[in-house]
Amino acid sequence: MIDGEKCYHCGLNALPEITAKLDDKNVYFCCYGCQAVAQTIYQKGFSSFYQFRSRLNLRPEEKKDFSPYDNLDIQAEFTDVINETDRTSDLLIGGITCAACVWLLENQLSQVPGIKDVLVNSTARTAKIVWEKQTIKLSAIFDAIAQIGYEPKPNTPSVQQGELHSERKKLLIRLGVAGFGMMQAGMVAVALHAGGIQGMEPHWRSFLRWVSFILITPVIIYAASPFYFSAWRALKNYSLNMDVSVSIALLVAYVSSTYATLYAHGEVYFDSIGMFTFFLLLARFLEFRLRLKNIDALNAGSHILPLYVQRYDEASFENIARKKVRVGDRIRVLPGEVFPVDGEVIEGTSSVNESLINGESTPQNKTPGASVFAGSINGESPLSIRTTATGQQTQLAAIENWASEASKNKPQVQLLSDKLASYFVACVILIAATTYITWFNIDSSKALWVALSVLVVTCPCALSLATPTVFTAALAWARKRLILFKSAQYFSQLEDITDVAFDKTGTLTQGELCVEKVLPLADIDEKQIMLLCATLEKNSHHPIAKAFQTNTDISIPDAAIKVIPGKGVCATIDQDFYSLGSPSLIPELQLQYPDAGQWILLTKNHDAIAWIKLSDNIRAEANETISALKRNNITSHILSGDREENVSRLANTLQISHWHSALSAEEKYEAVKKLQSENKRVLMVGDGINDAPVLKVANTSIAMSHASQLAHTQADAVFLKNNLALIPSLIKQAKIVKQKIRQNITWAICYNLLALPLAVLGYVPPWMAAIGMSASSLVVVANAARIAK
Amino acid sequence: MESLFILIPIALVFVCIAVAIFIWAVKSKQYDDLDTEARRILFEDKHSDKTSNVKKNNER
Repeated sequence: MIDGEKCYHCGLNALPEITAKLDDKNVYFCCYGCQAVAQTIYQKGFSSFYQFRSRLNLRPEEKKDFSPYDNLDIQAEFTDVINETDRTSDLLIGGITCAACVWLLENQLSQVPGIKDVLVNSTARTAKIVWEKQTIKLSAIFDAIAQIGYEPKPNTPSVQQGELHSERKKLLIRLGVAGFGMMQAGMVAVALHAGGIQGMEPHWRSFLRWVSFILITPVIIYAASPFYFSAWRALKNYSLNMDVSVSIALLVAYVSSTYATLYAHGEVYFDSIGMFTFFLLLARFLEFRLRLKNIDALNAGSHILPLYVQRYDEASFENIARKKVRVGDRIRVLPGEVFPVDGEVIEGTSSVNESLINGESTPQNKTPGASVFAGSINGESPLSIRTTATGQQTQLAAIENWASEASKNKPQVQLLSDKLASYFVACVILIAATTYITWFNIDSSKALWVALSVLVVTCPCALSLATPTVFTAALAWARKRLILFKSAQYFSQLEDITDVAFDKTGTLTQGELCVEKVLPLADIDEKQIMLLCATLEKNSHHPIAKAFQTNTDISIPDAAIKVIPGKGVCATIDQDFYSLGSPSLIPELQLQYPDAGQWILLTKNHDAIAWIKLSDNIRAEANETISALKRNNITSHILSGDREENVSRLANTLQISHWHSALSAEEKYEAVKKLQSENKRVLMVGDGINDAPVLKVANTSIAMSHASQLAHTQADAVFLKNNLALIPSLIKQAKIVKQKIRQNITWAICYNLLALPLAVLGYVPPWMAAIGMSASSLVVVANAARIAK
Repeated sequence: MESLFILIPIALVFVCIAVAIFIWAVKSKQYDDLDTEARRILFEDKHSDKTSNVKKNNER
């Protein structure tokens, strides 16, 4: 094997011993998972997949047991009954990277007997599968997907997501109707405008006007209706927004054109109406589509709580749907699993990671009698618990409710364009009225038409495009840097942020234990120590084990490793007895910890050979980020649920003078509310379930990529790749976004100011109005597109 | 020139048909995944006509 060879399946560094002969060619893999997947793909005759794919695959997950999905209650969450025999299941497929994956999945699945239909969507990464329950089990379908290297999960989209998707469809149809209307009416308008210049017979003019009327009526009634609803909502709240002026312009133009058509007197603006509606809908659709794409990507299948749990029924454990668990039930939670309910430990000892619930960075040791909370993650060994609270009664649900309550307190910012809209509407109506009165005294037959042309010419097309076009460009800009914003409005709000509040564990720090220091006590080098530790911790789910995850050459049978809950692990390797963990594992040694911090001891045949210091490392870019923020006069805060000593140490290193420790979810929320009451505008960055309420209430909030599902739902934006260093550049970009919006609005108003006097004087024929309107809109769009780079 | 009195109404009928087809296409999820369908033609056609059945189901 040549050095630096990459894995054939996923492109990670390959190992020399994992190889396979595929079509008489030797290829290498990074792991046995990739090897198995590639072999399966070749065996089934889909080898051309590797030529079709335009992107590398992801490394497949470990093999999972899907049998719980055969339980009818559990299935019901994502499966619909079509008839006696047929079922449709909605799945999320992890690992779809390009369109070729769809080809592979559809081909592989359609070969499986019992699967009747498959439809895979590579954009949403979902699959709809129709299957016969007599012929195949659902778990077998999951297995078939996992075999070719994808990760199937039940798809239970939120109600909100479903609504957004149907709204997208409606918007697309409206856009289509407006598009057809605009094109056809535009064609007719060319004839009408030409006729207006060179003269045309009245019966032709009247005919063409009637045709435009027929074409534009569906546009004004159906396609443009969202503007009326939005305008109506604003008026009901005694406010004016952009849609009010849009609706006035549209309706005035339509009514006057219809009148002109009926009585063959005056001007028609049908083409302008079509164009205006289409441009506005297009801008909205593009923004909406990008937002929805971001929201879909965020909801990609991670559930806070597992769909099923193991309940103890008389003599054995049985998988049942989480919803069926009742208070008092005895359930078992395996290593690495998420607790589905609040409960009290009755059997077993394990360390539980509660950092997402309360920010505590060190795993908590749970022994019988201790309470555990839904949403925390079990460590190294199985725990049996007695359920004390389920569903809405859990701590998790309380935080969730608190978060939705908090959303009402989020500071609402009126868009600049909406603020302007109220002045704009008032001005235009005033000018139109004055024009009418003045013209009435000069030439009463012309007065109405000049006043109407004022209303149409000042139609706020460019003005109402000014904001959404910039927003779309801003969303695309952030997406390229792997930050997904749920709405660009939150992005533009970053512009005048005065304070940034960070969570500690997982946000400023990695959230995982790493080896900070190794202190050898015997004649042994650091590399060997690390290798021994890695071997000992190889199969452990304990959070400490992650610190040692490297490839090891020494392979020992798993059974030889013994886990001593709450203390550590020990094993016999080559006739030597090793242990790793707390010094109390080997009581006869009586050692003192070398220093403050979290130390663990490695021993060989009951002799200490090394101390290892573990810590939750600060993110590499944290320091640079904090100082960049300081340079921009933005104050940084730490709001942590962790203990004071940990927080103060971090605050010292990063030179953050404002820090709070041991905060509950509620206290974090109050801390940000307090800042806001001092007229500060706060950006919150966090990851935990306990951050959910504060993420909701902050002016803008960003969740980390590994954050809990609840934090993802409540935050305004999510990092797909954690990089705190992007925060200062985001704020800088937000200033540019705001500036672009201002430029666009200024330009649009200038255009209106230019067109207005001409209209007042009665010099603007319809064709000039149409050209002016589209030209000013194009300038606005082109200006916005410049920031998407 | 008088033929326009017939031709333009015929054009209107065609527009209506085009809009109807567009609405049908959106409702039958043809616009849901533009990336895959654009590339599907490049792939070897090995599978049966099973995949197209789902689309028919969705229309119902």
